Amino acid sequence: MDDKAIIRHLSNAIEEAPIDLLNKIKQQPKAKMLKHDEITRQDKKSMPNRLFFAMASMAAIFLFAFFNYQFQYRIPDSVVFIDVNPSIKLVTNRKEQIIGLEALNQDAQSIISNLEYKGLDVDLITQKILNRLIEKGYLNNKNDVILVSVYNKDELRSQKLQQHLKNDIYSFFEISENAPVIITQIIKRSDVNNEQPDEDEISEGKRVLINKILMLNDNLSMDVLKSKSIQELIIYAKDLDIDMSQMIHDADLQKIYESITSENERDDDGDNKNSNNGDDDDISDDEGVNDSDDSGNKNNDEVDESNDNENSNSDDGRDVIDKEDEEMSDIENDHSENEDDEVYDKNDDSQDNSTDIETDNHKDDADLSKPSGSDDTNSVKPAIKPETYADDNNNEADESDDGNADDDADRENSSGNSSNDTENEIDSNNENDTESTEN
Amino acid sequence: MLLFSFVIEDQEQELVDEKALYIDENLFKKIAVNDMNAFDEFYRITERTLYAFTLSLVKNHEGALDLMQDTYVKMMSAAHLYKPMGKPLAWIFTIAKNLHLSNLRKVKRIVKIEDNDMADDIRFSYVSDPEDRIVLEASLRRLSEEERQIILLYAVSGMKHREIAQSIGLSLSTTLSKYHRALKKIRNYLEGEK
Repeated sequence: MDDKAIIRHLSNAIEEAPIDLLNKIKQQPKAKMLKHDEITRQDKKSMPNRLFFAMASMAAIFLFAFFNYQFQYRIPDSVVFIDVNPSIKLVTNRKEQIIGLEALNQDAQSIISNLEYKGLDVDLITQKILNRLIEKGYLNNKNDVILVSVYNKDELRSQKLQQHLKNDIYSFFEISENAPVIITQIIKRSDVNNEQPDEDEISEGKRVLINKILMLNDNLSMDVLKSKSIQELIIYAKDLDIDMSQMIHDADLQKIYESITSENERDDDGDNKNSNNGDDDDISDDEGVNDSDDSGNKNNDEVDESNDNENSNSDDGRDVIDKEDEEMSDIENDHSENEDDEVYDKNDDSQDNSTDIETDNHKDDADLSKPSGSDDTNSVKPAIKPETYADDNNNEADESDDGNADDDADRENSSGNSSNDTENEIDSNNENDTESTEN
Repeated sequence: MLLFSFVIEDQEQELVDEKALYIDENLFKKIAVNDMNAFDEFYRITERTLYAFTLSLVKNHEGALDLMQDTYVKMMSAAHLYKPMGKPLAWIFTIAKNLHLSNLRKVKRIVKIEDNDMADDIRFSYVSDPEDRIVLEASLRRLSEEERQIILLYAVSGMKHREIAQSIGLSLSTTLSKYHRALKKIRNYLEGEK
């Protein structure tokens, strides 16, 4: 029997049932109920359970998708600091897309002004920033330095992003003849502290680098180091045996040393020219090795030569520094000024001539924050042991310090060289040694 | 599966007298004010359907008639309290089922739905066709309460599966699956009897 037949039989059977209840129902008394009882209650089910669970599931899925989106795209994940001289802060989400961009100093304002960044990949924004830095003249010299610092709560993600950015930047400058020195570092959670006041106007990346130095050298201070260029800080860090392998390639580190040397040589040339021409413009008591080879001062020549030799023989500035220190100590300078314990004294034009790596800045320390290039700002002071550091800000144009005894010493030492040459450095170094001794 | 069930539903609908079971909820308002004409109309529309439902509950003719009567009386007593919810037949069925459960509690006899023991007067002598009677008895013996409700309502009222599901408070998919299972049980029973 098929289904149709079954239904038909049932229908027939029910239809034949004798039902005559109408009159009986009508005759029965019926009391009007005041309210529904358990028999007549109308259960109000506004929504079947299935529909409710379906709606609840959809709501749960929507909430999950919403918060997942927020977590992936809106919540800050990593922070990247780009320091050249302009300091720029980038905030990325987990997808490495930029969600925040901030200029940390005045110079950086011009770099990021009108820069569209929302939702763009960090690669693209980095390239745009690099292009603007080049346009503005901050990265036009192979001695220019760019410091990229990456922070993420997860150190592995920091390393990954660090490597990513490093590859991007190296690729960007791959075909450039004037590729700058590229330094990258990771900012760990332990490195982040709020002790330093924000009015320092230095980025977290530079601060972290300074803190690494300060941890190993109590003689230095944030106030002194914050005005140093990144190159100088690198040399400091290198001298303190801080692991630089992840931060900078050896080639770039060598470039820093070479840039110092070349700057010193250039300054020496310039000094000689100036001395020959009576031009003292680029003369600075704080300069590194001046062009003393041509000077009539044998001592200076000797020192310079020894410095040059040491430079050529050693890639490690420390070796050179040590030797220079020994030499310096043999040269007395009675005109040393007593300075504070800070190794770097802006106003002290005595030079640290103890290494081949010399700063040849003619400008004040404040000038060191300017982008490198022709102004030697980013050239690094000689890398010597911190405790033997002479004031390394010999680069400042401290002609005003000519009244310094170092000048006198220079004049004493220099026969025909009116420029500050090695002797000046020697004298100043002696001063510094004296100072350090006193201190 | 739902799509397939829709197809099956359309095919079987042709076999059943299409008695569009439409109950105007305004009838309750009229019944509440003792409008007997309205009650007559309501009775006429729902008589066989309610009988099929009560028969599925009590599984005997006389008991089904008593339950029907009590249901109509109760309905009339509470007609003025009825709130239109779009399911008037569901309300009637609810009253019938609650009365049945109340009666069971009164007699202190808990009878499982799947209990195959029926009352003595189970023999539907008024059914002239033996096959009809056999099938009816088979459905009352072999099927669960919900299966009986579904298959009898479907056979008598001309209601669609969706309407049946709505009236007895089940989902459409459950109603469909029980319906087909019921048919299969009856078929197997009948084939076994042969």
